[in-house]
Amino acid sequence: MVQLSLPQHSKVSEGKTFGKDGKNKIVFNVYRWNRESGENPKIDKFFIDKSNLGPMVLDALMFIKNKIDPSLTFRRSCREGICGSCSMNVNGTNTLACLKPIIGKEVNIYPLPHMRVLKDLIPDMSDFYKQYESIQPWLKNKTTSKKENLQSPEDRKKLDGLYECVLCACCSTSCPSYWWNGDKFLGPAILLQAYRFIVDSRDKNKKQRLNELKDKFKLYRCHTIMNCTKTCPKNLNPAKAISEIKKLQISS
Amino acid sequence: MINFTYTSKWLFQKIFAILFLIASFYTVYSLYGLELQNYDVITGWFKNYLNSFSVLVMLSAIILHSNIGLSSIIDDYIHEESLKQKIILIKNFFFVVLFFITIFSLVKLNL
Repeated sequence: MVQLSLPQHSKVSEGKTFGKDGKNKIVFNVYRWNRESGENPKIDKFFIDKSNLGPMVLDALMFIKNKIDPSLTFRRSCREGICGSCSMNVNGTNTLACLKPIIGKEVNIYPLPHMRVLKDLIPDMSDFYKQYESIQPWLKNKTTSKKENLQSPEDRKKLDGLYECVLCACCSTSCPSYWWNGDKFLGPAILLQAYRFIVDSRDKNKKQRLNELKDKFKLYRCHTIMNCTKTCPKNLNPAKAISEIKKLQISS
Repeated sequence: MINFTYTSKWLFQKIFAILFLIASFYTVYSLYGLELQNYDVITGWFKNYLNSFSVLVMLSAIILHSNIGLSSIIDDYIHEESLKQKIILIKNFFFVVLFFITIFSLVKLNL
């Protein structure tokens, strides 16, 4: 049954304050939680002079980690929206911290919603990756030819808007259906990836892939809420990919 | 050929929604301009088989559409399998009763 109230240990309280408010200062409210402390999560406040920061939220987090509080924990790598590591919830929207500019006087930073938190801004992605593995995200083709597996420009074009996905999980964790049924519903990111292999002309396993998705939980928990498309930091359209899979299910 | 899987349920839900829209547009259009406060005028409107049929299509479509939609909502929010089955049984019973009330009322109006 759906839980409508937060468990006792999930209630967030006020944490430490670093620095003081002033002219040209921006306040960063950052979610902090350490499993080992045994305490409830807290929101730490960091007042930082704008002139010390780069343009993006990730710059601010790195400034905090390097100059103020080295215990702040978050994932990051490429800092240009390619690796998908720094996905988090900034001002109520799931996004990549490296692509999100600092706007306004106050920035609220939380981990991706409805995911188990390992520490601070790091969610546990293991279920997400297991779901990704379940769709067998590789080309399946029984041809034993040693020649190149060629693809026409038209067929290649079908992959545009799909191959760019960096698996940051911003879309899946913004989806209410994924919140309620994350164990059974594959979620927008994984379904977009599934569609990417279904439409790939080099893959010869289309029918089996569609059969695997013919399940009321894996696919049909999508109710076209469109949060996934709205939040995608790469401007992709997972909702459209899901609707294309549903159309293919009818004709298959 | 479509097997009766969740895919067909999903498709039928869309078809029922379209049928409901068409039938309700026809119903509203054919009622337009009638004296709706007059009981005899309304029963007279139901005596026309085409009008009764459009109401039958409209109500059947909404009952079937809602039935599939409610099942989906129950699947979304209730995770305990035995509780889910009980609620689905009550829901199905409610919709069957509603369907028979619809048929009975329309037959009675046409006799």
